[in-house]
Amino acid sequence: MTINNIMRTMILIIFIAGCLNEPEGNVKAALKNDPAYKAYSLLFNLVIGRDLGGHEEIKHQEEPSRNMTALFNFWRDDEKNISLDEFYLQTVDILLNSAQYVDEGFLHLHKRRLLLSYQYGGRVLADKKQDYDSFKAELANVAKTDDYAQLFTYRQRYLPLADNYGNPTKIGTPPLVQGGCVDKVIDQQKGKYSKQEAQATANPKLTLTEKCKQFLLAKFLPGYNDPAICETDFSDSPPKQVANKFSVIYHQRCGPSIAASDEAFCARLHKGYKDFLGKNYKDISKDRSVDDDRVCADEGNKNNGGDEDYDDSDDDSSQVANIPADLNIKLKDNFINLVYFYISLALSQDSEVFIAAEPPTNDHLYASDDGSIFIKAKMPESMQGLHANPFWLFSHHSSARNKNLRRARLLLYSWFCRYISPDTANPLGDGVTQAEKDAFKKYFDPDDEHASSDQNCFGCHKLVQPLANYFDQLSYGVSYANLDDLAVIPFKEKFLQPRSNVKSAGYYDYDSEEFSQHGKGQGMSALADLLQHHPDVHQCIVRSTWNGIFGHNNRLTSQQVNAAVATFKNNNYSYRALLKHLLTHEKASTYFLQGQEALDELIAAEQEVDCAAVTVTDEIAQGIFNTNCHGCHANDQKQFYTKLKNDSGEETYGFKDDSDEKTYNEVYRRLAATEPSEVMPRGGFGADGDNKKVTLLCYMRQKAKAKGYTLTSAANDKTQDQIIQPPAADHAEPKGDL
Amino acid sequence: MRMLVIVLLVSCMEQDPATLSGAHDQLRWFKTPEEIQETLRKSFCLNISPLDVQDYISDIGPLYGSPNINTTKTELQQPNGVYLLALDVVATWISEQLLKEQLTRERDGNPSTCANPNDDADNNIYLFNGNRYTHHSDDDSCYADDSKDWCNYQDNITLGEFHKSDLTKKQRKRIMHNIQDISDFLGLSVDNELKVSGGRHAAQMLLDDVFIPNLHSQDDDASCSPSTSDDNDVYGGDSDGYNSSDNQTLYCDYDAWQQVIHAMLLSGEFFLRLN
Repeated sequence: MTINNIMRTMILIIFIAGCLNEPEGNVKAALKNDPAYKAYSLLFNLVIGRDLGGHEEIKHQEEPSRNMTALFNFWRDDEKNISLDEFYLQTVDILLNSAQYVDEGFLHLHKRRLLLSYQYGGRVLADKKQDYDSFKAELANVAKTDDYAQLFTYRQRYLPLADNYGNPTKIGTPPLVQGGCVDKVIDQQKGKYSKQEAQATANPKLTLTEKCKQFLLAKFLPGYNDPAICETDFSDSPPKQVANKFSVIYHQRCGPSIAASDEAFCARLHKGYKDFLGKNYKDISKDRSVDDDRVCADEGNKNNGGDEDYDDSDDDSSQVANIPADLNIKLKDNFINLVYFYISLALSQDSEVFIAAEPPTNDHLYASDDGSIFIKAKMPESMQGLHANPFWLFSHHSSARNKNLRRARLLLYSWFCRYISPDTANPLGDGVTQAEKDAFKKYFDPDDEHASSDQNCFGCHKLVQPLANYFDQLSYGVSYANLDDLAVIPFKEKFLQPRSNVKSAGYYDYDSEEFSQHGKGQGMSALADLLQHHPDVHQCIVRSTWNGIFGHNNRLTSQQVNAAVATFKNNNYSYRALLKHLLTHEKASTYFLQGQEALDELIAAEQEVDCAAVTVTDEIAQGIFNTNCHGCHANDQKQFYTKLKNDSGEETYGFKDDSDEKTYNEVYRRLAATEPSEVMPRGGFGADGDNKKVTLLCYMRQKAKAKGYTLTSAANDKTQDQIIQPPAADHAEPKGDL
Repeated sequence: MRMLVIVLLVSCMEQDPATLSGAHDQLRWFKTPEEIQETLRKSFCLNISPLDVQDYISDIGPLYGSPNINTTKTELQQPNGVYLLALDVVATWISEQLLKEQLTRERDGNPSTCANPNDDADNNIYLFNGNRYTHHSDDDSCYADDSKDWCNYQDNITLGEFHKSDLTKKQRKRIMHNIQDISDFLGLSVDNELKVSGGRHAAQMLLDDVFIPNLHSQDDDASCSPSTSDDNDVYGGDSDGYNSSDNQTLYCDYDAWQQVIHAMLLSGEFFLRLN
């Protein structure tokens, strides 16, 4: 260690030693002492998902004149007299309507809700990043539309064409860039962009290189450079040959008559051909049928000389593709069209996996932060929505076996705010009835041991297996670790290999003991139907969004959740409207403008109960435990509620006596926030729920007092609770045994 | 020595979150590698490559105990030494990147390396300017007034202005204010009031104990140059940044600013996120 380093380290030690001490006095620089700035920077961090940068401007997208700098100037102008509350409301509005919200915030909020953190290392990171970047782009599009249903139904997927080095990706798109079609000059040794490259990244443009041109011709005009077939040098007129190829394919499949099943394909092909040729287009549908080899026989092919495999007598090159002799299309200018069209063409011919939508433009291209380039393509219905997104699938596979079961568990977590794990299984519970097994039979594989026995695992599996079956139509994917550097995994192979035994899917509602009326059918479209319409999902979106921002302790009451759900629905499931509702809720503004202590006081007032007139005894409380709580909480023996034996040795249920103060507080807050409902089990105490809730709250106060605990509305130590937890357990576990 | 740093940093982090100082009295949690990346890329306009991410950032998550932040509850109380060492490395790297970007902006104006569609064309607020919500009048009289110990006015400092010498009080005040500007830019809390243990003024301590000892002069470092030299040669004409082994010309205060930024990154809450 050099002297300089030692000195540096010593200085650092001195500074660090005092780094987190409170400053003396409360007066700080004007900026940091400004409640408006504090609220704004905190809002930015929680909503957008990164620190507020010094240089960055946040503009309201629809009202360019409104931005944060202007708002701050307004706020600081004494004559303008804007209140802090008004400043806050406008800040929320500007943030939620900013480009940062669309590009980052929506993703950030969902990343946390859906457990989609991106933080792996090494090879996995490098390979997965393509998927992650495309996922980001897709969610940004959903955010832009502000139609939450599109999260489940979007079909425009970004397929990576080239990584940030211009190398082809491994995602499985046809290897259109394998020949270096993306013209980028990057120092691969350093792996860094030059300044010019960085500028280019901001405005991605595919540029055709000669290498790429040759590659495309070799790929899609296989005979173009094969002397045995055709010794033509097409390099002078590649567009003509490409156009010829269109024509050949068209006539092979679409002429002279078009089968009904091919109508859509032929229409697309025709459109692609038209787009490609532009003003040189001439209707190929009027051409006669031709053989593939005729691509070599166009007028420009002076070197053909007559191939012996080619029937010259039938040659009429002027009619082969109706290519004008003076055709002068710049392949480069049409490159995007070409790439897009060929992706469509190749995949459509092969598997019908997606359909070219509109003529491609630069809008169909997307470049991620690091310069990787993607092209937008339309997925089939069976691959719609985020749950068929490669990144979601990758993030939630977690084991080679039972991938789909584990994904189903994540569905429960993310969309139903329910958490199940093998730990919650009750090995001592009752067996499974034959009637129950029969009802679920079609959802299980015939050989599934969980369905063929009465073991208690069935309790969990009957819940997750029907959900897991939604994923049957997707392949198990390809391990990133097994990809060779230059391997290109066919799109179809990666994503579309249905399992042979596709089973019924659905969501088993343990409450009604019937499958949900929504989500019937198979695959992602059925799952989308379920998630769009199930009321529990709406509630869960509200709860988990709130918890993701404010932490588990600062709960909304059930009534407040219902109000937020109503806003969500009344605004056509606009997530922006929901966020605005939540962020402008009194609890939120209190938190952002006044801090946690003020919020604690607010919640405490909300949860205040008058126990003076409430008679509470162990018997009364245990009566509620055993009649109202036991049905759902029989297996909640980890934290607070437990199986006990009374003085007579009879089995009963109640509080764990050894629970610590923090647990008391946590359970008290949860109970206090619950809005009594007569509809069991959600938030329910059954009939006379209000009184039962107050009785239990007072009982808890009594017990806490006896133990010397102080019950507050929010624990002082919130650190652990701020970590994303499974959402609040207002929803009970399934009845019966797990 | 390095381990001592780590131990002390651990002790900082082990404090009750309620006692943490900073711009906000909110709870904090470790930033994820992605949050660090996004902050560097979009908030700080740094053009970082995938290899940079791989070398400096992506392993931070696993180092604090798990690749999944949702299973790292206990690590908040007991961060391990390797994690803290990694933070030291990444803080050094970030401070280099920030200074390079600062230099680029001073030299070339606002470059387009930051692909932020919301950037105003005339916006050139960067590391040495605080942030766009910081209002500094361009009034030099306060700095010249020796009766005042702190001035909250535009300091107009650029890289290369200082070299090893006795600094005047005016210069000291401008440097301390620039330290606050850097802190504002980073979203941290060094200002005119923040004090560190022992009651020392934070900005003053950073000036006396970090900045000044790392100033160079051409007398003891021939590769050092004041800003009056040909700016194009400051970095050897390329974007590789400072590399003293290449005998490239370097601003005499480059190390000093870098050490200040490094110290702030490590000792503030940069690697924690507000929650």
